[in-house]
Amino acid sequence: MIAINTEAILETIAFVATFLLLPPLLVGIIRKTKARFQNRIGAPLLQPYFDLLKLLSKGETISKHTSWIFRSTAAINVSLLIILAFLAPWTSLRPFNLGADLFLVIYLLALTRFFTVLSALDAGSAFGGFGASREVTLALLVEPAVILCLAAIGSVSQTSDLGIAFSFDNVALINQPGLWFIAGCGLFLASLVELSRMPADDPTTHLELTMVHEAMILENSAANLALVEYAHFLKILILLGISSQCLLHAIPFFWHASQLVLALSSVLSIMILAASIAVIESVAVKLRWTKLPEFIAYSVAMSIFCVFIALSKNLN
Amino acid sequence: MINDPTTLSAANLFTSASAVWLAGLAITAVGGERVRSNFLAFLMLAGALLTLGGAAISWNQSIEYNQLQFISFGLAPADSLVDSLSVPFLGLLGLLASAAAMASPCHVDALSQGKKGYYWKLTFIFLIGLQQVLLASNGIAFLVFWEIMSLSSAGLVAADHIRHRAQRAAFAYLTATRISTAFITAAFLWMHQNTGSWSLSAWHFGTEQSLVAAFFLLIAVCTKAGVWPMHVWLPLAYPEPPGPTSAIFAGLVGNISIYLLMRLLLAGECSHIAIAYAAIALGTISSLWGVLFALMERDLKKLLAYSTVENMGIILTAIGVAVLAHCHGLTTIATLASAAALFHTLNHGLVKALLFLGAASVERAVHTRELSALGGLAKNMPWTMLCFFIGSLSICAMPPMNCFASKWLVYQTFFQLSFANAPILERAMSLAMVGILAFVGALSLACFTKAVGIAFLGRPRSNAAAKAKESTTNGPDGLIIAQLMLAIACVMIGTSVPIALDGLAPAIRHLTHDQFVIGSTLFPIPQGQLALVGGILVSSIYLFVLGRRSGEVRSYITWDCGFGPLSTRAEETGSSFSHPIGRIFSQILQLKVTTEISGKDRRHFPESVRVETFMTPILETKLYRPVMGLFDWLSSSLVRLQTGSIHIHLLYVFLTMLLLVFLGTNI
Repeated sequence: MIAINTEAILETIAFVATFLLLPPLLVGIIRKTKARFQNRIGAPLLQPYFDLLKLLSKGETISKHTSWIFRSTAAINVSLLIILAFLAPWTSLRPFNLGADLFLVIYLLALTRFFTVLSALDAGSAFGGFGASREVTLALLVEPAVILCLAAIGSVSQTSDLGIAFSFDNVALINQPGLWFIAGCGLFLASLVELSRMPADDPTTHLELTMVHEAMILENSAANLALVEYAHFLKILILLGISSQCLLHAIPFFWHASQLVLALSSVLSIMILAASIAVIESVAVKLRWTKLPEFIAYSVAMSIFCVFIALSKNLN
Repeated sequence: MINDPTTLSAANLFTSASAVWLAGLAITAVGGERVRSNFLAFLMLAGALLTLGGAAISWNQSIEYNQLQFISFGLAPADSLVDSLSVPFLGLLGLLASAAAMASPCHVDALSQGKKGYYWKLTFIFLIGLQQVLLASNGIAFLVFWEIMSLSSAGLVAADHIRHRAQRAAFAYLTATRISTAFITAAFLWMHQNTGSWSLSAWHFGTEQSLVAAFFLLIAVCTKAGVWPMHVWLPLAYPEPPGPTSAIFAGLVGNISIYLLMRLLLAGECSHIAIAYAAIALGTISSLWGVLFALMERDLKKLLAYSTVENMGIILTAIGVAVLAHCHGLTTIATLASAAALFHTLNHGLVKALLFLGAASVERAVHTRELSALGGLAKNMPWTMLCFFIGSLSICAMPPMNCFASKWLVYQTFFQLSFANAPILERAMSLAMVGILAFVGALSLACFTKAVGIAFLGRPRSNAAAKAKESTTNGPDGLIIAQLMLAIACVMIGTSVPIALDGLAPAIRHLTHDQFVIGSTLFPIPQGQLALVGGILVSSIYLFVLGRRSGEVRSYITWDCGFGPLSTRAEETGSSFSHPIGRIFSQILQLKVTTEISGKDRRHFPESVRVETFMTPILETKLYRPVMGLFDWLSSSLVRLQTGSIHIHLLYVFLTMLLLVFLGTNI
């Protein structure tokens, strides 16, 4: 007996359409903002879509040294991120709650990393190896910060289900703007590193020796590359979405806002975060590799503040 | 009780398993090298299957029998007890022994004359020891079979005893087993003194007097399981046993000592908070230390061995929390922690056995375990690669594998402790542990992407790796089938965790004394369904996006910047992969890099560049070497007492007698 609810169906369609269509737009926003900062007109906002379509129609070249790992990584990562998009609380509009367990979300992200790193090592090129090695190093530094921010929020709401913790009718978290704000900032800083954005990695350079993410996907081409790019865009959406949700929760107004306002503001806030990435990339420089742990320390410090707030909240 | 049909049949199965293995031992002893290895492997497999059958029958019902009563050890007979806690371990033993049995013939046939008999004899003794340790119902029988198990496994470690490496490993392992047996004996004697009974189930660790025994037990288990700082023997000894038995060795030797800890401390209701703190502290350091050294390791099997140190640490922290929760009366957390410890122990045993079989397969094909000489094996060894890959996914606790479920339980234990009714410091500690576990998880991801990526992917770094041959026959041989079997077991447990936890529920109830535990509700994530959805998504993407234009896929060389094909020397190596992380932890790892550039214009046109990295194991040099030095000094000083003169020795006898008379009259 399934009650067919028009509203729920519409919400689901809106949700799926958002996460399928929004990711390239975010990258478009980042690129456009950066271009404006550099006094250029820049490519059209929808250029990432055109790029993806073009890549899909090209012929593919793969290295003869690769194994099935290389061939299947992009497909696996896109699937994993689609699953994550259904699970993780990246938007206020969630027509269904599938039980977004905090540790499951983190480990699904880690699983995409596992595959990305292996596929980078698969072709046996020096660049792929460099990128892979750097990726695991950065992940190692960032992971505790991400998990502690989310665990602190979960600890206050006494559940590891992020769906419940991030719902706007959670009483335990309603008066915690500090916790939400610090967690949001910590997660945003961590996302900069996880998404290979500026202080950690320069996504536009063509010097493979300094790259992280771009070095890892050097061997991919055509449809495979399109999938890799799309997976990366989806990851941008999900990680920025989670940070923006934290920041939205810090604003008391939104606790009582209507569904529609919440849904629209969540999409808008993701776009604002994307634009702020572009601002950061325009005014900041890429840090030297050895200086990166210091940058990540900010994120870790924020996660530790979150932990302190969570501990004091449950003081008995 | 013995007449109950279930008890009788299960008891018969266990006893006949031992009998079959004993028969195998006798046949090897009499027949020597002439006995066909297939026949002996069949005996080994039969024993393993009988053990599995016995475990299956007694799954829900604890049975007690004394079929071996004719073997009496003076203080107590060899009584057996199979309860809900020993059954999962017996099942694991059965599974690993059957995998090893399948892998044995192709391993033994490649051995030189003289080594075959040695292999079979020790393996059979080892299996009997393992099985009887799990069946022992009293301390004396436990100790006897524990010794049989330890010594036979030391013999297996020394199987390749002509090599200096194996000698050293065997000595280190023997030292560790001696220390652990000494402490276990002390703990057992102490408990016997307290309770007047040798029965393991009669010992309760809730009393004041049991604290010392509990500490002795903790030390013993940490030594045998390889927990920091007593883990130094582990990376030496784990790689040494012959291929097939290394699976049993890696999967069970450490786990059996964890089993002992669970049986005595958890089921014995230990309520010493000091033990809990010690276990959590040692476990945490051990997990960090183990995974860090695993990451830096250049030897595939040593990498796996260090990863055991990490996992033993994680299990020990879970046991620590179980004790802690018991002290505070937090039943939910005690249940979670016990379930986590038990499930992770079993999963880790299974996965580690799988990975060691994979490493054995690599070693058989390439004749080296050095990562710098491997690479590109995915082409020539597809099955090994697939199994090793599954094992690596699992040991990094990636969903939807079995270890994710148990690691999730560990995370959940600490997470729930953070808002439980516990002191603030313990709650702070528990959230810190969540962060540390994430850190360890990220390090183990780095470690196993390195193991898979460097060993199996990329281009071959040596001729031997390029010419590697996976199997001795045309199809997959025994070693490959054994790996496939364990890999399938991992995936099956991973995708049906609720069923597995339901199966373990009696054991969890036994550990927590909480009769209301429902196994399947402990882990609410529908891993199997997620895996299914993921599979459907991946295949549809394959079909509709990648497969659409598959005709136009062009195979070409790896991108080379236009320089022409790069040599394999330009590839990432194991050490360079882990170097950035090594730099961050250079203080702990004692990592030093020296670079020497020479040539006329050194800066722009170097003629030769020489880079060397050094790592000194800090614990070995800073802690163990001085202690060993002290022992050396002591023994060389004491040797002066032994002059060889009969008069002096008579004087010693006389003095000792005087001392004894004095002690006897005054105490």
